[in-house]
Formats: sequence, C-alpha cells, structure tokens
Amino acid sequence: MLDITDGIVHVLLVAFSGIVLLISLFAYVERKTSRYFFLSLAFAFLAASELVGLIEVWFLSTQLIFIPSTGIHLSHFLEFLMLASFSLALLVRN
Amino acid sequence: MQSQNRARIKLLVSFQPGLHLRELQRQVGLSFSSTRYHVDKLTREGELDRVEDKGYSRIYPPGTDSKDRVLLSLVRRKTDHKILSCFLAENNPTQQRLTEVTELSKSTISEHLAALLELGVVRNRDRGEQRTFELIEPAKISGLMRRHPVVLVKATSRFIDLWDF
Repeated sequence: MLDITDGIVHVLLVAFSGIVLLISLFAYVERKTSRYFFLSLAFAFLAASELVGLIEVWFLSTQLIFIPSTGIHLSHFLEFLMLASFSLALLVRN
Repeated sequence: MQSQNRARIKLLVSFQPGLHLRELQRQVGLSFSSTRYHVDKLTREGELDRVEDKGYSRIYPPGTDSKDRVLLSLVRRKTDHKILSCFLAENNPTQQRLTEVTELSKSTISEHLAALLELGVVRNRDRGEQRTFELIEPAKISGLMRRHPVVLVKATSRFIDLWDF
C-alpha cells in the first residue's frame, strides 16, 4: 500500500536531484572539461536512481525493479554507476 | 591559441556585459593571471572596456554607454538586484515597503536607495505624506534582470568553485 509520506519524500528526492543535475549540466556547459562531464553523469545516475525509487513506491506498491536475468536491483546498480562517475570526476585532471 | 582565447573572452563579454574578472576567468577556464593579461591587452587595444567598481573589475564591450554600465553593474550586485526586483514587483513602493519585501535592514535600504537616487535609476514621487519611489526606466531594468537569473548563475558558479582543484 502507498505510504503518502514516503511517496512525497520520493517526489522531493527526484525534484532535488533534478535541480542538482541541472546545475551540474550548466557547469559542464560553462567549463567543458571531463571532470564536469563525469559530475553531470554522476548526478544523472542519481536522478535516474531516485526516479526508479519513485516508480517503485508510487506505481509498483514498493515492489523492486530488477535488471532482467541478473538479479541486480536497478536502483542499486544506478547508485554504483553514480559512485563510479564521482570517482572518475575526482581522478581525472581538470 | 592566444587569439582563440581573446576571441572567447570578447564573445563572453559581449554576451554578459559587466562580468567581473574572476567570473570571466572561471568561464574562460584559464588561470587568473592569464585572463588578466588578455583582458589588459584587449583593453589597451580598445577591444574591451575595463572599469573598477566597488572592488570588482568589471568588463564591458567597447563603447558601452556609461548609463548602461551603471545599470548592468547594479543588476549584478545581490542587494541592488533584490531592491530592483522589488521595484518591478511593487507599484511605487515606499521605503518601508521595500524593507518588508526585501527583508533587508532599514539602514541598508536607505543607503542603497540614496545611491540609486543619485545614479538617476529611481526618483521620488511625493504623494501627500507618503514618500514613494519609482524606477525611471522600468522596461530597461526588467530586460536586464531577465538576462541575469542570479540564483542559477550563482549556484553554477559555486558548483564550479567546489570542484575546481
């Protein structure tokens, strides 16, 4: 059953991650370096992960979405990609 | 390469007249000293105008009208931007109304209002006991404000600073 409070929190998570993604994209457009590219990519994965969480809560009655034939929770996989992108952003030369 | 950088600097200034040197340096992606070197050279060659303004070195396309320079630097300052936004939203506000809407202190409003009056950006409208103020060129200010969404620009600028190491 849909918990309204949890649902609202997920909507806010999507909204805030979208705003940060937008700011990171502006930063990339301004600087055009690989660091800002990986940062934008990381925030894009974060926004996608939050969106998946929102879909699970609002439309699938908190049933988890898995990547077919792997058993990996999609949201966790997106978070892994986000951390990988953050690591690359830290390691690349600006 | 040098001419490419200078062309970029000129292009950025033409799109954002009134940029200050540090902001330009961030956008152009060069070191501060290189940016200053290019700006100095372009200024000497008459390709840019550089004006010192309250601790900032602001850069304008050549031949920018002095009145436009004043307006451009005003909309780029946080407090003046707030006050001018209030002027656009409110119809001939009083000093008290400006204080309420902007949530700035009375003394700050008073100081900035005096400066705006002196610069000829706003004028007095005495209506009986109430002293109200109005913008002299509201359409022009409104156009300049639309070109500078301060919050987003600042957020982007801070984001860049945060990761610029």
